[in-house]
Amino acid sequence: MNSALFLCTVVVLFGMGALGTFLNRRNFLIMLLCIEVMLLSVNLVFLTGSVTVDDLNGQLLALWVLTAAAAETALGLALCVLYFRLRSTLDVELISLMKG
Amino acid sequence: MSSSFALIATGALMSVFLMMRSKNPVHSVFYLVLLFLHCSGLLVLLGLEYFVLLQLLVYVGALAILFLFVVMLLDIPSTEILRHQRGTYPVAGVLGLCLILSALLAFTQPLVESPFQTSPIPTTSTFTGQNSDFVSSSRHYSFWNNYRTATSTVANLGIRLYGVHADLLIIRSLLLLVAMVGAVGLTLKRPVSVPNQDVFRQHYVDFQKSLVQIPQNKI
Amino acid sequence: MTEYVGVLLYIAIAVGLGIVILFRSYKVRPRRLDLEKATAYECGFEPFGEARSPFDIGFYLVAILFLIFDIEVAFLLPWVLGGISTGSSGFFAFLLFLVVLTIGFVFEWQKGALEWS
Repeated sequence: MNSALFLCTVVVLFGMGALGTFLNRRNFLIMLLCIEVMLLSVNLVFLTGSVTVDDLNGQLLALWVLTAAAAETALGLALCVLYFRLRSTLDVELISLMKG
Repeated sequence: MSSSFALIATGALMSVFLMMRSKNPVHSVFYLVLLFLHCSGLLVLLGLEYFVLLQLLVYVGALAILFLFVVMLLDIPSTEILRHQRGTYPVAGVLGLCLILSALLAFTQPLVESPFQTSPIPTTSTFTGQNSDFVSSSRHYSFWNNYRTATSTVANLGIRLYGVHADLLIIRSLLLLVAMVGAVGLTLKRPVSVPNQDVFRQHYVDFQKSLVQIPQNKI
Repeated sequence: MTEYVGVLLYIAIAVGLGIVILFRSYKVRPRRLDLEKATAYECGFEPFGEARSPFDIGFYLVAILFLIFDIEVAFLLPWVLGGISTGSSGFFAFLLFLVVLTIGFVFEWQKGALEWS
């Protein structure tokens, strides 16, 4: 089992998620999905490293990332619902009320 | 083994690409589910059954359902679905370049002389005992090491989770508590002063007691 | 990898059953659309509407509750398999974990997020 191949795939996955967060500024929901992809790839990095170096701390950190992803999704979707109620759109570029 | 890995990895990357390119958010959520399934396939190749089931249970079973609920809840107008994506290409280019550079540096770095490598946890067998400050810290670990008689990975994970790193477990529960309280406090906008019609209470009003008797001497 | 053949068979049967049910119901159903069916009802409702109609926020809150307690139950499995051997301190950490999440549940209940009026 070549772990470098796994890591390459996961890094490409993370890069696609990160680029999608910045390129897709039309829809807040798609941005949340891209953040979810990034957290998933971080999770996979921890698990692959845990198997490769035979250390259980990687799996512990993967559990931590899983919990953080769940909490982030709950709060992000709550903000999404709140913003849609306020403006009835999900356009990210219109979130400029705090700009002064 | 490597052919199945190529299949699953290609499927994962393609589903991410389709997720970002599709204009309908419902299709994006379904491509995200496809990505989760492919990632659990990768975990099967790694041999981590507990995490495969966890991924299917938490990500597909709960997170994707939550996303679908919000997509249904919001009723995004169809004009917004058809619009193309628009973004800050220079920022994304610089960040992508940084990511590629750091990934190349990480892959080409020799494993042994890495500055990010931490010292492994000292065990009682390798410990020689020159530093007295070191003894007290290593005794803590050796205390938990006595319990590590189980052989299963999940059992060892349980010992790590509830024995060595129990403080992280408490912090994790606080994180989940914050998520729950925050979601309720943000989205629940039910006005308290609105009189709710409770049919049960209306039917069970005792009309004999609803009239107030005023004593004679008060008049 | 031969121990996963059963899982693969299960997934194949599930996907095949879904495809078969969808396509059979698509093929078998009668499609006789006339003007009387396509016009609006007497009460004013449209006979064919969007599949995506907005619904109550309570579904979302219940889904969040499900997500949180899903993760909690997933954390109970390592305790059953190996965490029992950590003794009373592991047990009290486990209990504290449950108590903190129960506080959140009680908060949500008292806030009225689970009531359908």
